[in-house]
Amino acid sequence: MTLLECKHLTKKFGKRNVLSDISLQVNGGHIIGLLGPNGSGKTTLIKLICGLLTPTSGEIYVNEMPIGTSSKKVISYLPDHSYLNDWMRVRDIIDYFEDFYEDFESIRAYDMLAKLKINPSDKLKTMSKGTKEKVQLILVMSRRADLYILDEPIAGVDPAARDYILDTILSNYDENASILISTHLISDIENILDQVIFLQNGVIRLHTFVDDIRQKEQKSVDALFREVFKC
Amino acid sequence: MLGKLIKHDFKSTSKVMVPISIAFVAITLLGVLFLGTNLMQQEELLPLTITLLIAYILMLITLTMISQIYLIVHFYRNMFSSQGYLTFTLPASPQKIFHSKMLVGCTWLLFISVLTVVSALILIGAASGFENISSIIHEIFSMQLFTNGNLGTDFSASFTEVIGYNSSQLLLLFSILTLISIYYNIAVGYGSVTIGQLYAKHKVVGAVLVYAGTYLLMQILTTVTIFLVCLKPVLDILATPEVELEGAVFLQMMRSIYRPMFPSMILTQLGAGILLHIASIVIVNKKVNLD
Repeated sequence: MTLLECKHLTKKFGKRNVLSDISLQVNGGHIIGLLGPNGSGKTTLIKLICGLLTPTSGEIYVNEMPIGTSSKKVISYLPDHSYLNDWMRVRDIIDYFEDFYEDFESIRAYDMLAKLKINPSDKLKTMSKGTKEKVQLILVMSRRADLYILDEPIAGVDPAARDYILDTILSNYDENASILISTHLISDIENILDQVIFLQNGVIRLHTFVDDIRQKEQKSVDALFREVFKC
Repeated sequence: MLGKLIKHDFKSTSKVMVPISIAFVAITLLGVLFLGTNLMQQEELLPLTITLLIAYILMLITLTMISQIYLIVHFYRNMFSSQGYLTFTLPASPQKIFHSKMLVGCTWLLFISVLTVVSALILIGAASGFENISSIIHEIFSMQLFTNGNLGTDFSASFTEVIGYNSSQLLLLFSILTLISIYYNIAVGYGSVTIGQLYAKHKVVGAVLVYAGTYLLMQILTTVTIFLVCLKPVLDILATPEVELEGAVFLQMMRSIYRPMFPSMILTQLGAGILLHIASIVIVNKKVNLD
């Protein structure tokens, strides 16, 4: 069964086409890099899949169901910015996630917090930007979702934290699930990707397996990206 | 799911609404303490008493306005700012999310309204003795607004006769109007924020414009309704040839103004509230576009 399918998806803001006729399919068990320069439409595509934007035209299906309550049950989404109530304590947020998401495992969340020495009684507003991002990632990865959508998960953290985040992602997702990661930092994540989608000016330039790039093009994903999107 | 949404929204809004409620109680207690002193009996302190009474009323109005503004801002932040990324990705339908917020907002405003009435009753009771409250209300309703000599001979009319409702009927109408006003205020506030999201840029400005536009439209609608329902019968009476403005005719005119006023306000606010409610549901279902 196809996990995610976009059919002729178009999104306009006013007269500006941000995404044009996007069609793609994603099956379970893959880690897909959604790559493209600034303004290529990565975040717009992600927000459409998560139901935060309404498409101008086209359709999106998750587990063959249109975007709605059923798709939100199986998508675990990490936005590219802080989206939690700052006055809340980490423990309160865990209770919140546990209440709403049937697949949320609080034991995993507390375990990851303990490893990072983050106090669950701390309020978010007392934390640094990096720590907040780690808390958000912990919450997202503590779900047993079918599709994880991570928008720039490593953009705002130091290299050591990046390693921890990538390790957290890899060690916490179910092998039948898929992860869609949007990022600019290709060299940091290319080793964990098995598919890539290159997005340029709202159009898919390339959707292929990483192994194919390495074998056919004899290049790394990072090198190919620099070549395709050369200014 | 609706229950969980309501529970968490109550928890989130109580952070501000509980202190506001405590402020209501504190203001009432201060009033009772003041009334417990003999300051009110001293004639030279009458200006102080009047100033404190005005301050009390202003504080209640301010707290009610703060509550309304806070609930609208909380709705905006929770739905359409960065927090909306969590709200709209919860496994709940957008209309359930919207209705949970409507219910919580209406409940808080109802609670504030009850606190206002209770506070006023406590102060009236403290000033006049609690056992006298019902007799004070009875006195107001049986009060003769017009007596012999005001309008023709042998004419008098009580408050009840002028407005066309007795105390129980008026209490019932007032309660219904309060409930509908609460629904209307929340529907207008949340509806304006939601409709404001349709603007491509400056969504907050859009929401304020929608709110101002709705307010203006409602003023026009209310004026037209009052004219058609309340004033037109009066003009018809006055247009009758050889009509004499004696007591019974005057009373009929007063009643035709006051009697339909409450039902007209109830129906106008209910209609406008339902329209904005439906518009909001359509938008959160079909037109969500978070920045």
